[in-house]
Amino acid sequence: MYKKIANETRSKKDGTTETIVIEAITRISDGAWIPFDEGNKDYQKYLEWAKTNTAEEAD
Amino acid sequence: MSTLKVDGIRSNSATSDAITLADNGTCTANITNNLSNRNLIINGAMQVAQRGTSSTSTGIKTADRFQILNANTDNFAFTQKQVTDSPDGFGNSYEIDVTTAESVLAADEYSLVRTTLEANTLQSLAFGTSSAKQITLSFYVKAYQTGTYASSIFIGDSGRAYTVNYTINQSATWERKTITFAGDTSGAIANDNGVGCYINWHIAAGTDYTSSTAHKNQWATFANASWAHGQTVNVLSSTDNYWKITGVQLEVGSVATDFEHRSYAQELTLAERYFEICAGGSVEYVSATGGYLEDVVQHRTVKRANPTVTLISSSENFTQSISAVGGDGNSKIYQSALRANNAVLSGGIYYYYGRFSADSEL
Repeated sequence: MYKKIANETRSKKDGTTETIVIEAITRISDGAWIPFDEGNKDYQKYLEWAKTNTAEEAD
Repeated sequence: MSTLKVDGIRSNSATSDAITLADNGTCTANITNNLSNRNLIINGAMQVAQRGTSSTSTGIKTADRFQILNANTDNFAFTQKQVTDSPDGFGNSYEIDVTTAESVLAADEYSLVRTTLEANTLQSLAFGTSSAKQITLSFYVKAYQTGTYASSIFIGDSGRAYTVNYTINQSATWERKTITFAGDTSGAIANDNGVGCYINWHIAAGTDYTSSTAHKNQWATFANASWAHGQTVNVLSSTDNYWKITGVQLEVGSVATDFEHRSYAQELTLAERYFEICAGGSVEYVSATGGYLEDVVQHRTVKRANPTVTLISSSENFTQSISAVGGDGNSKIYQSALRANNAVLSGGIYYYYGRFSADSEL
């Protein structure tokens, strides 16, 4: 029902890279990007679901 | 020059003053038609329907900020619609049209129409203080069935509720209803972006929701059994039935003033704090294999909270699919982005565009 989003690695202009931790999860049914914001009702639903379920790992 | 000295001005047929004059040279007037920004309801005239005009699903699917909620119904099917049938002076209403009846309403079944108000928009009510203000709810309603209906307000922070009844007197006729609620001196509303209150119009309620008067005509701790006390009409009972509403206004005070009409543009902007259809795209020249495409899309309106972002449609001239992704919530900018899901495979000119929703509904 939900899938984790992989961290992103981005190149900076000085040649180094940085890892962006994506604070969101994907709802598989419609591909929605749900942010980890407790004010977001979809995230509240995810938290409730996650009490008894586990999201799929990121690709 | 002469001065008229009186303490109040009142219609011969009224029971209270229209204008009350104070000994400090000021006055208070119950003016019904020309105060701005008094309506606390967003999209009360049902003008804005960003998601569409018809849906057979629950939730906010047609008129922005208004939704139908059901519990435990096993037969009931419906269409919720934004329609043009409306009283004079309005262009739209929100309709629940029964398409499959729930002929026998079990005790635990209910259906209601709801709009939700954000807490920080309700601070002028002064609830939870000794200065708590009366509030007045007014709306135009039309239904096939006459009879007694319940409406209720639930305060999210205090868990307190107030249930009232109104009567539809004539079938298939627009009627304006006005209901004044006492101020609640006990239950405060936090000054934040969470749920301030739910305003519910019950259209069917089993006996689990009608057997108590705990918060009937008064503020008290919410009780399921009191939620829809007095509701005798079951709109779900026949496919002949419908229920429509428009001109919804909630205002501070004991007087239902004329509905405050706002422009479509104003209502859209207010509604976009909770839901917005965004569009973006780009034409880009990628010079080398493995180019990466992403286009930041700024929301027109700052969202209530970091929104859920869902792609609606896209078009592109390369094989990678397009996603809509959220922005950095901590920045409070609440921008989103369209991006190719993987690097494009070779250099060239690429275009893509897409539409997506940004949803931060309460």
